Formats: sequence, C-alpha cells, structure tokens
Amino acid sequence: MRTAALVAVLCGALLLAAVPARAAQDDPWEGFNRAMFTFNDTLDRYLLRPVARGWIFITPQFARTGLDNFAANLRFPIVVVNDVLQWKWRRAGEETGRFAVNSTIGVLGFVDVARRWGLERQLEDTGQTFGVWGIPSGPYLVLPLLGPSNPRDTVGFAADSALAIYPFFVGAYTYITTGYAALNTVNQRALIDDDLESARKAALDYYVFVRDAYRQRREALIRDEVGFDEDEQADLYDVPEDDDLYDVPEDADEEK
Amino acid sequence: MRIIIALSLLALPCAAASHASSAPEAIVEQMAGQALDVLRDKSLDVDTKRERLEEIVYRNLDFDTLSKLVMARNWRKLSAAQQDEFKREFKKHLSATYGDNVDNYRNESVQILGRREEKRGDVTVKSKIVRGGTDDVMVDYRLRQREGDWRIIDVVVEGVSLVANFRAQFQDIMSNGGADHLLELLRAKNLDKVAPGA
Repeated sequence: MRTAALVAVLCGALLLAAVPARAAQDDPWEGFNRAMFTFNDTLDRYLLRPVARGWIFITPQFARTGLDNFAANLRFPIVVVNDVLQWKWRRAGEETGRFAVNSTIGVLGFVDVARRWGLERQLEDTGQTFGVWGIPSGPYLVLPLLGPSNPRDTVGFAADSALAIYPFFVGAYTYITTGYAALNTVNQRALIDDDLESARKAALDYYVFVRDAYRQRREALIRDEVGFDEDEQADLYDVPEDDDLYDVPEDADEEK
Repeated sequence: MRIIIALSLLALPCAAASHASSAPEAIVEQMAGQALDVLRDKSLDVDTKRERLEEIVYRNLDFDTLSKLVMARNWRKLSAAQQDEFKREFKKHLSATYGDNVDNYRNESVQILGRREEKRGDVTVKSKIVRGGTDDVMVDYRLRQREGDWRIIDVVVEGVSLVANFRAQFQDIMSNGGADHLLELLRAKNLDKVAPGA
C-alpha cells in the first residue's frame, strides 16, 4: 500500500499539472485510460481472479467477511478525519464508537458488533471530502493496478494511504504491511467476484460501464445519498418524442 | 468497487405485480416477494428459476419507455425497424442479465423503506437489500404510470442509475459505430450467454 500510495502521489502530482481548468465530464484521456483499463482487466482475469478463486475455495465465508471487517476497522482514522473535515461531528463520534466497540468486543475488528447495534460502516475518504469542499474531480483517469479514479480521488487516495492505521504500527516490518496489503487485495477481490462477473456480462462496453458507474457512485457518496441526483442530468427521464424529429440535436456532451 | 456489487444485485428484487393498478410501493414489494420466493424455492432447477425471474422482469419493467430513455436523442436516429429490434434485444439482454443472478443468491432479503414523489409524476420507491454479514445495498426503483399501470423505468443501485449507465454506453457505441454496430453488439451478447474468458 505504501508503494501504491507513492505511485498514486506521483501520478497525482504529474497529472494535476495537466488537468484542464474546466470540470470536464467527457473523457479527454480516453486513449490512455482504455489502455490502462485493458492492462488492469487482463491482469485481473489471469492473475488476481484465479488467486481470488483459490482463496474462496480454501476459506469459509465468515473468514472472508471477518478479514473485510478487520480491514474496515483499520480505516478508522481515514473515516474519522474525513468526517471532521466535512464537519460531520456526530458521524465522527459514531465512527469512534464503532472503532472502540469493534476493536475490543469485536476481537480486533474481525466481528462488526457495532453494525448489529445500528452503527453502519462509513465509506468516507479524502477524495469525497475534496468533493464536499467543491473541488472538481477533473477528468476520468484509470490508474495502473488501482483502477478507476480521477485526479481529485488520486490525491485523496494518497492521503488515505498516509492516514491508514497499520503503517504506524508495523511500518518497520515491510513484509507484514506488504503481506497484509496483498492478502487484503485478494480478499476484497474475492468478495466481489460474483458481482464483477455479472457486470462483465451485463455491460455492452465494459470500459464505459465502469467509467459511468464510477462517476455516478462517487457523486452519490459525496452527496451522502444513495438516490440519483436528477439535476445532474436533467433530461434523464425525458422520453424523446417523435415530433422532435426535426429539432436540432443538442451538443453531444450536454452533461455540462 | 461497491458500484459493481450494487449493479449486479439489480437482479434480486425484480418480481411480478399481478395487480397493475396498485400503488408503486405495493408493486415493488410484491415483485421482491415473488423474486425471493423463486430464488428460495429448492424444488426448482436453475433454468426454471431463470425463466421465472425473466418473466417477473418482463411484467414489471416498462421496456418501451426504458428503451427510449437509454437511447435518448439517439432514439430518433433509428429507423422504425431498428427501434423494434432494439426494444426486443434490449429486453432480452436485461432479462438474461437478471436471470443470471440466480446462482449468486445468498439469502438476501428485501425491505421497502418508503417513497418519494418525483418530477413528471414519477414515484421512486426506496428499498434495501439486506445481506447477512455484509453491508446492505440501497436500491431505488423509479416507476411511471402509463395507461393506468405503474411500471419500473429505472433502477438506481447505491446511487448508480441503470438508465444513465446504459445511456452512457449506448452513446459511446452509437458515436463510434452507429446503430448497426449497437444492434450487432446486443445480438452478440444475447447469443453468447456464457461468460467469455473466465
């Protein structure tokens, strides 16, 4: 993760310089992005997925869920710092409560006891905080190994990596952090295996599918709402009428 | 990555409404109930389950409106014959995608959370899929009334709209290869139900 963070910072720094001033909704780096996407996708098909399938085969479901809970618990500093940066003090308090309960009663975070008490896991990160502050995302960007992102979220990811809890404890033992990061990556991949396969089947253009889903999802997370924001795309639910036939079509990239 | 999780879960709560005139919440609730019944029924084999799920999707989604929404202004660029073919193939594609999730069922259940009035007289029914052990998945169904019947015109999973997502894909495909290319892709997808690679 440290290396990943470093790569992310470097990419972020290089790319921020190149970001056009306007908040482009289109995909000016599509050529690069598609190449990276294919690279990542190939790596996934031939390396990560087979390893994850093996992991699924040798572990029971509760072990995978437990490790996921453990990883989520280690995100505590990321969540709480970003709650505060977004001025959500109540949520920050809740997250602190979650961490205290899950780290103790929940056996180092492996059991999400707090969820059963009504305190749901929070998905805050620094990229979202930037979004809440009104910093535009910049163009879509596919990072090598890390996948869908944009300059804003790339910088956010670097900050998250610095905030993550485990480097502070085992920073001296690189093989522990590296081993954990690898295991966690495999586990996370295993948890979404069914879903990723359905997505590959459902998509007609998998690249565009992921690009659009990433954008929509990040926007929903920034709004802290799961619903679709109709104002983002005002014509989404307009049925094109036949008598519009001779209307001049609007600009292809009308999404602002 | 949660996006992907979410999107592929579209399948689960799609079931049928026999009382077409009932309120949107009732329709979604009944639909979810029927889909879960099919998924939980151990006496049915996978193919029967898939078939039943597809039927449920057929009855509750307004494919006519959906087709127009996902194509947006590209709709008018299709000839009448192409429009018909698109509707048919898109319907097949969506249903098949949903039916495929039969294998992925892991004891999820569905809760209806409430409704929200939308522009154009639409109603959004909010629901969540409860997955034991992992995070719940929030699913919004947008329904529109046509000829007295409420039917689903969009499914928004964890903030990701199906209509918006397909529209983005189709726009891209249309601008790169035109309608023939789009229809060809859809046909190919529908013929090839088995995951390539894997």
